[in-house]
Amino acid sequence: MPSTRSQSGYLIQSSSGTVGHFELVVPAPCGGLAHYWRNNDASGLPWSGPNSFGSGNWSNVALLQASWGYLEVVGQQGGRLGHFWRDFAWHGPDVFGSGIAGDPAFIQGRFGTPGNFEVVAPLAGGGLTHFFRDNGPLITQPWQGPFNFGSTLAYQGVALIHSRYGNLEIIARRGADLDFYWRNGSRWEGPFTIARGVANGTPAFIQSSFGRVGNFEVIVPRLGGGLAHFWRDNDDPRMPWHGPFPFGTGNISAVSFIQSSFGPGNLELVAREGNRLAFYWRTAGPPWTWNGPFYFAEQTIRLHFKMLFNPTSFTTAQMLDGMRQVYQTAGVRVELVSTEQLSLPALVDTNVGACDWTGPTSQQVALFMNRNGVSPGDLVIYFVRTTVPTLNGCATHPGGQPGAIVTSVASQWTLGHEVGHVLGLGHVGPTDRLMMGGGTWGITNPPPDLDCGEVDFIRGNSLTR
Amino acid sequence: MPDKSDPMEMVLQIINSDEPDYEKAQELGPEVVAPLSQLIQGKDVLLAMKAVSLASRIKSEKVVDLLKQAAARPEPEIRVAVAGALGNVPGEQIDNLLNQLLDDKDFGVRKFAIAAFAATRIESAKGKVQSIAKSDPEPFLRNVADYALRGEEPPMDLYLMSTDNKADQ
Repeated sequence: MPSTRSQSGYLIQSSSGTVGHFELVVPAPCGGLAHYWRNNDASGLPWSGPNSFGSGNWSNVALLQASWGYLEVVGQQGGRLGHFWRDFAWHGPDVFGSGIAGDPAFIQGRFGTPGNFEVVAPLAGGGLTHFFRDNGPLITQPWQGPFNFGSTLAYQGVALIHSRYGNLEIIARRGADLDFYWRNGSRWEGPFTIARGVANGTPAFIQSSFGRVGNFEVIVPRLGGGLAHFWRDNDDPRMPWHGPFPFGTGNISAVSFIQSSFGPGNLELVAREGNRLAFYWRTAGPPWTWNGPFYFAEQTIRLHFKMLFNPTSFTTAQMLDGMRQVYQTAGVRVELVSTEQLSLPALVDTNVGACDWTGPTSQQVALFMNRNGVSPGDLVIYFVRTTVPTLNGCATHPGGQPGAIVTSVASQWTLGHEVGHVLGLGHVGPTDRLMMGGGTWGITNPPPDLDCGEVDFIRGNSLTR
Repeated sequence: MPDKSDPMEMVLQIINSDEPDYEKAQELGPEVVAPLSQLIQGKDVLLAMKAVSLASRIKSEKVVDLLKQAAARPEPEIRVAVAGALGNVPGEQIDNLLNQLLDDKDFGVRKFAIAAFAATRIESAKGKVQSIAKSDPEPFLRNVADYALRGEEPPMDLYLMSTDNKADQ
């Protein structure tokens, strides 16, 4: 199994299991860090997690498996660097450095025995800084640094490798540009700008097994969406960079990839799209096409639409799209399982009474009897013309028959709002939130948000699974 | 924050919600008649419907005038809101309006007008309800009118009747 400890990123292939699990650490939506792993010995290659640790708002982190087997993480919080490690449980953070602004890179290189830890991070005042920790003979040595370089250029994220040339080599994002540095002895050389106007998030950088020497491979979130792949031909004496080669989709904030033990060395990648995790992979030979995105670590909420009357302000497709935009930020996938036309003229206008804790009216009970074989854990949405009294929607439902009513004059966000009520969310004041009590027609700065407490509540409900 | 001295703001604060709490209307009186009238006659059908639901619960002698304005609207959704609101108004004030809505061409309006008759037992509307029970083209409405005349709640399965005649789509 190829070691990934000499390249930075939040995705690694560890020594756990026979094949070697994929391990991933990312910031959790409501603070702290979340550890996921993919069991590469199991059929279906299932992802597990999250196993949460730490607290507060962390940057994108870098993860490695140290040569003594521990998982080790370095991230940035509040301008300082924090180091976590896991033997049988997560420990830390061990805090060091100051004035950090952006996503750090972290590797175990080949300097020293058993190999120093190396950290490079952007500085708030511009430029980059380097720390290292001598891991021998004790692994409790202090971090040494900072050693600043890179002048005053403002960087937002950095990726680091210890290359087969024996050098530390860096790709750093400066706005939409990518700069390359390498360390020659004790002196950093660069910046050498390898791409302009393309980057939109923290890059990832490895030295692959492609070519005789091993090419440099860089992938970065791309302006306009998706990802961009660059590679440097290290067999060519001129070492030219090629790219960008765009692939993927979505508004990606960070990316991490490895060359795994699958096939002849597949590239395997995890991109962060908001709070969603998207997996991609590419074989190590022609046609070099990327497969994905495959979203994982998501929960699903399953909807069935029962149509008594078509909405007039927005289509059901627009309402569903609106709901998906909001719920995907909570890591919840909204699946429309079925749509059925119901000929129930007596319920096209439904009396919903107070639509509150007092429970459903007899007309609501009659309406909700039309689940027609829908599984108990799925939600049924009944689209009607109006309710009496007039509401945009109503989430009151008979016990054991989760669902809601949405009327023809509902806003694009009413569907997600009513499902939020079904999942137990109450009204809130801010006008940029899905659950605003002032009415979803008046939502500002769409798509509306869910706060961390609401995300936890939704993900903890048995109707999302 | 809405201006508590601005009646329109007070109304909108309640009805802009996806699920307005119409019980708050009990705190409102004649000061909101003008803004409710404006909304009932306005272009925004949703606000007009919600204004009807709110208007039926305020403390004012002008409630029936507001409901009559709404009953004259061509949009059946607004007239459904009126029929659904009649049960909130003292019976002696709404006999003409109830008789008008029992004759409405829209299925949903007639359904809620029959329910208003069942709730208010307005004698002047009894003939119209008998006529519906006897000859309305919709089987559901014939049945529900029959239950209303007998003073009985219609059984739940009555609402599950299917027919080809739907509300205006």
